[in-house]
Amino acid sequence: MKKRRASLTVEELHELKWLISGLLALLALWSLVALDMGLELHLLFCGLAVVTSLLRPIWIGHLPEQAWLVLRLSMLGVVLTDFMLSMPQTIPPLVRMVILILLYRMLAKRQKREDLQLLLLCFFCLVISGTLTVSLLFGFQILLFVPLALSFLFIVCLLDREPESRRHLNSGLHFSWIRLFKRLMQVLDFRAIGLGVALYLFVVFVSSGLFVMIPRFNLDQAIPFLQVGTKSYSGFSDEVKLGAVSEITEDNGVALRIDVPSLEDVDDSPYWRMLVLDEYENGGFRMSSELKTKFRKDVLARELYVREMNRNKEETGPWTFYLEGGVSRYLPMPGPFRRIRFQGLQKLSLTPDVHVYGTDIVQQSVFFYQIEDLEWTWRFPASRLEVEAFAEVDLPRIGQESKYPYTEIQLNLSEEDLTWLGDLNRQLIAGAGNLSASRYSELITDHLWENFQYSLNPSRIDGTGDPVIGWLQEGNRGHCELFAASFVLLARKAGYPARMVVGFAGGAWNSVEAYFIVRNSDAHAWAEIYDVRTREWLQVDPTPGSGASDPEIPIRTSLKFESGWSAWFDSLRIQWYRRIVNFDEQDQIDMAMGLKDTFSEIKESLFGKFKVLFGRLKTMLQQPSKEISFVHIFFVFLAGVCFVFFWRFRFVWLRWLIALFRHPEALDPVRQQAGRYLRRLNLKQRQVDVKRLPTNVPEIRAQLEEVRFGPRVGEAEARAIFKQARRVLRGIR
Amino acid sequence: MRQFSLKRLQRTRLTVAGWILILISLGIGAAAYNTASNILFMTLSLLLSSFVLSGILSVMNCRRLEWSLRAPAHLRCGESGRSIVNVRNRKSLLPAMCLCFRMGSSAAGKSERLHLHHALRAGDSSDMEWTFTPKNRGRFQLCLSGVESQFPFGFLSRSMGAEQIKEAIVWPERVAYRFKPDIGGQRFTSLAARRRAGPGTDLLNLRPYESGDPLRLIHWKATARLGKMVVRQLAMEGESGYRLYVNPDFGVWSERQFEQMCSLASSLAEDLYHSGRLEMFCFAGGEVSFIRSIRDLYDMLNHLALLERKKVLLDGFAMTGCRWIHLRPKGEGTITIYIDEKEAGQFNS
Repeated sequence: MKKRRASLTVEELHELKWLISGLLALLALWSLVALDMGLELHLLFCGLAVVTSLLRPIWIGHLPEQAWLVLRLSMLGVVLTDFMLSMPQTIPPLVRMVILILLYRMLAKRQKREDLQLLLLCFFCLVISGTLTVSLLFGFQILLFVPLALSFLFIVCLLDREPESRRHLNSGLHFSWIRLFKRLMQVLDFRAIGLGVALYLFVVFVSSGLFVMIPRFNLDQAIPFLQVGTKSYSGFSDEVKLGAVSEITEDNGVALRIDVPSLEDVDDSPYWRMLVLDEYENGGFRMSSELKTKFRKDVLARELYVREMNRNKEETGPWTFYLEGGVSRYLPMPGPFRRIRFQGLQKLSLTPDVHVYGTDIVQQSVFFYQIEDLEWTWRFPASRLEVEAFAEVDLPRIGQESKYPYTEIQLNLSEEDLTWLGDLNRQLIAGAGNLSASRYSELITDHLWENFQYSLNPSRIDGTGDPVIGWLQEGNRGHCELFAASFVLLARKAGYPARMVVGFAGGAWNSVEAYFIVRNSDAHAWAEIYDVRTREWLQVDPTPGSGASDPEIPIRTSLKFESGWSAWFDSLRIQWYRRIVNFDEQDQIDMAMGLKDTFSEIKESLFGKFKVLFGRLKTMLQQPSKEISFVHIFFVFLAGVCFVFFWRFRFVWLRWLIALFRHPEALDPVRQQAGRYLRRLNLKQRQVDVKRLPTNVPEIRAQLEEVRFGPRVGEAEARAIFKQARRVLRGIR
Repeated sequence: MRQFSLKRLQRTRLTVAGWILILISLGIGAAAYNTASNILFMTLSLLLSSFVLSGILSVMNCRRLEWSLRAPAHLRCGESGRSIVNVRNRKSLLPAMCLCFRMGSSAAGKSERLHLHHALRAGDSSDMEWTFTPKNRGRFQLCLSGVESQFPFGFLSRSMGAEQIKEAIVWPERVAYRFKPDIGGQRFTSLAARRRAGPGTDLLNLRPYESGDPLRLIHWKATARLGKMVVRQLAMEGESGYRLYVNPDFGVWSERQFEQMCSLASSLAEDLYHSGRLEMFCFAGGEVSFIRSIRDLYDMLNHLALLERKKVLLDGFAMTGCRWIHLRPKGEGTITIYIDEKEAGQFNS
């Protein structure tokens, strides 16, 4: 008699479907949490509703039909109002609408069509979120979504038996999760779980293969697709107030990850230059409007050649930057480079005169770009306009001309402040005469370091005057912006064009995956002073603790290294960016070439071994008496026989193996012997007339069945029963 | 049917869900190429791999399946019949799931789906019942249009196998009628005649039970001794039953009356047989047939099922004095039963 396995009833399948659909809805809502679209209220409400429906499905079952009608109408009203209020934006209200429909579909009664709609909505949420955030979390969520969605579809397929499944439409009135879980435990066995896991792995494996093999070409956004911008969270914008950069340092989140060719290629004290602020007014630096309009170029490009490569300089490998979403629209650049590449066609805002590169909007998700032949330097070439403007040593138009490049020497200060600055300059220079930019920088930096301390909580300056001048006059501690601003004002007063630069300084090396990591806490402000002799901008960091006061002396500090669990978790992200997000045609080609090389190596190696083997065989055949022994022949023959048997009875073996795992007791020799006797008894009974059967046959049969299928019996007892069985079998003629 | 022709009958169609998946894949693919977003490429590859998995599982699910259709032996017009679809999974390891058979009949306008509600484990077989109600007597065709499955995710509908058609004969409908014959009958004088099997009280022989034999004829002692059902075969007696004469003459019956007559004749014959009082029957223009066992009765009912109105050239068979039952129309909705030209009953529609 075959044992029938337990299976779920239609009602239980509906309950399981309800559970999985709830999980899918929660997953979809979770994925949307990462979006910055003002979805918080919707997500909170819908999340609570879904969780409640999962915990207490009976409440949903009690809702009358009229309630659903009211819900539909109110949803329509909310969605229309939302669209009207959010004009001209379309994506945020669209996502909010999807959330509401998702909730409705989750809670309302569903048949096959509505089930598919629910799945599509969940999928839509996940894809929207993944596309906009490009986060590692999406990878995890989609890997979770796949088995849930496939299980859901499988159950929907099982329930697709019209009209009988309609009778069991889930009313939610008889739900009991405890009962369902108990039933699931009964139904699931290692084989079902193993098969499910194998199928899931198959999907992951095939999709990985397809991901690698799908031919890549770019339509360059011929179809407008999901262009959503956001505001900068960091403060790295065109206008930086005093203290704005220091505020960023309080955030320890990752701002930038850089895949570098090697650790040796990274400068000991790297500066990631993002933005140049040339205009000063009342304690705030900003990029002058002239620079933002006249000198800014908006281009659409996938790659840019910025300058000719110095022939004497060796070509370096590519540097891949992964800038986190919301940091800034300006791209951190450590120095001049030859080429910059983006994954697709990208709208760019370039200000090449001041070596500032940015995108048209602040990217919401991780933005990555690759630069080639990067040159670490603390000197940046000045633009032609700057060179012409600053050629005169004594600049007569200071304070009169407000257009770039004169904004780099302009001082919007009161006469009193200007006089005070001039006096301070004279005092510092001490009649040294015409100093070089680097020497002047050294003197000013020394002065600042001697008289001021670095602190994120600067001295409070009272008064209504210029805050930087006030700090110079009365303060004793301050943050990087105050030091940089003081330097710039002093330099400009002394006749040296100078400007403030913001970005990141420093970072850490992730030892787990070998990449460089820059955090928001590395945000920094420093200065650049124009060196008229070399026609270059010299990088000066007047903040204490940043190295030598002479900007010409290379700073030698030790890099920070990150290790441990946090580094390991962060390394997952870089893997995600490297292997998934940044995968492109070149990687495809590299992979294909790598595979080709591997196969070629394997082929050559196999051919070599085969040749050697063939040569040996040939030699053996030529000298049979010496080399070939009967033992060899016997073993080859035995191996052949074993293989034939194995192949011929492969299904028997497999069944035997499965039986071993599922019912190991069935392989008990006593039970097997009892089974053999039972088979012989059945055979005899079929062959012989009923009348001629001994009378004790039913009794013996019952005993044998008990040994075969019942609780385990002792060997002696079994032996006695087998003896009787043999006797009976002999007696049947 | 040879194997290659069966293979040719395999067909895979996209379902609505499958079309949706294809359209979504196209949309995601276009967006992926448009934006060069690897997130979308990853999503696309997951969609495609799900589709690949669906195709592979669908093929594996339908492999090595055998099925057969068993039509019921007897059907009666207006009463529900039951056909059995036996399906066997000959795979070694994998179960077969979500199987569905499309069943149709010559009576029903459209086909119906017959679902296998549980998974069919490797090596197992299962019977599925399909009930239907034939509306007319005559030949009845049952059609099984192969197996269909949307396993595992409902993206693909895979069907395979040729149509299997089984034919059954639908006996005329049972009707209510009034039948009150005068007591009496012909007593046989010949010993040879008495040795014939027929309705009587004397035991003639014992024979194995056949489906449809009256339960009162079961010989319980012999059944117990032999271990199988045995029935008494009785010898024909003088006071035996009746002989049914059916005349399908074109001129006698209108079409509606003819159908009613067939129904009445079959009901009457069956009732008489089960009361052990039907000896023989005769169709006009045909030979007289004895009714010795249930098989003979079934033969008669089969004849009645297929009987058509026709011109009877010679209806001169001597049928008086031998308790012959005649059926004759009396008005549009009434059929009268005569025994030896005496009215013995009536049927009113």
